[in-house]
Amino acid sequence: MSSPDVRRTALGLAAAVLLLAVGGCTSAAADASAEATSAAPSAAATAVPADELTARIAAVEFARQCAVTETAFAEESAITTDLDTRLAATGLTHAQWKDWHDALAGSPELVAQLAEVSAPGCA
Amino acid sequence: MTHLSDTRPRSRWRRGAVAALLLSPLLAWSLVIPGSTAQADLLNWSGVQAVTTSTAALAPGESSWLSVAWTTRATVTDWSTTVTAPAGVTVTYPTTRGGADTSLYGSATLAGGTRDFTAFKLSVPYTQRTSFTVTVTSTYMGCTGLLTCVDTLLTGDRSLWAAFGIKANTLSTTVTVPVLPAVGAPFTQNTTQVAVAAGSDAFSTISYTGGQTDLAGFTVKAGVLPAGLRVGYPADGSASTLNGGSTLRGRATDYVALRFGTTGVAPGTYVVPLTISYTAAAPVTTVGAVTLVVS
Repeated sequence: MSSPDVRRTALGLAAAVLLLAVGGCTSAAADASAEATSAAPSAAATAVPADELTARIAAVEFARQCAVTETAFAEESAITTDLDTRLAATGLTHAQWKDWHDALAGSPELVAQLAEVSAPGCA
Repeated sequence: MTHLSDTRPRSRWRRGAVAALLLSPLLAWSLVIPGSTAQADLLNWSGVQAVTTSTAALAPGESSWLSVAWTTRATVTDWSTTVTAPAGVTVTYPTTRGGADTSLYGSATLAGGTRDFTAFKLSVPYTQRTSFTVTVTSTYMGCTGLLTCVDTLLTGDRSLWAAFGIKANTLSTTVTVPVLPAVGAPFTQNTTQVAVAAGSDAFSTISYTGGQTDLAGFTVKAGVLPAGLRVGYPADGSASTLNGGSTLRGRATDYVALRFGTTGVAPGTYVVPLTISYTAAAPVTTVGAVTLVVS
């Protein structure tokens, strides 16, 4: 094909791809979105808010994450013991940490708070 | 009305349109279905990556639990990690998952923008005197990070996952395990004094704590005894072995039992020499002692 033909083909191709892609995404997303809405409530709707308690937990978690990869633990249980010792030192419990951890995936506020606490980076 | 006076432009448009129609489904498919490209790194569009590519150091002969940290741009779940180590290095996974693999400490889900770690135990032989690498292979279900995608991922309704492009991803990372000489004493005897009644013949325990490395074949027997004192060993053996097995694990505490027969000694304080044997990089025999207080 000549250069003009190539250009016309490319333009046609781009247009066809755009139409198919947008149409496909819209269709799939609409169908799945409708099903998801009926299947379960959005995680964002039940997101755990960030507060002073979660800030304290985030601080403990950040410090622990910095240290854990530099530590060789003698026993498997020592990893949890280390966490619980850090939590207890600030008046926190393992259950509180677990609830906070499990809420992270559905709470942009908690993630943002953790990111803010972690901003200084590991020493 | 405009007439096309030349047939050539009309035929060129026609050829271009045909070509576009023939090729468009192929390219559109790769856009609608993310991850269908052949390049492995494009499959990891969740943004999972290792934060650390080096673990804590181990000593030759040491067995310890190590960690590798991970972060992700978009939330992923169903996390599973296995480790491939050089010959001679043993890998052990947490018992909580049946021992076949490990996962993230908090749960099998890594929330977008956060960090967690996977832990596993490595047992390094005494012959491993230099740093080495392990391959850490992680599989997980990945998500684009869009809210509807994350919501679908978290609901656990797997029948919807394909529609949102949520699919399995595999990431292999090479991690260095530094090897440094062991530090400190190979073991510590915790029990320095044993109290027994005069005229008795019963077992007493002597406690030991391992140093940094594992000591195989750990046994204890008495040396030259004070006159009148008798010593016996479990199962009428010639020495005592540890209660928990033949190896004194690094930083673990265990004990041996010796039977002291004091019918032939008067009340008082006696020093009982001990011969302690084990195998580290090579067989070792050393001496110790315990004070026996007979009253």
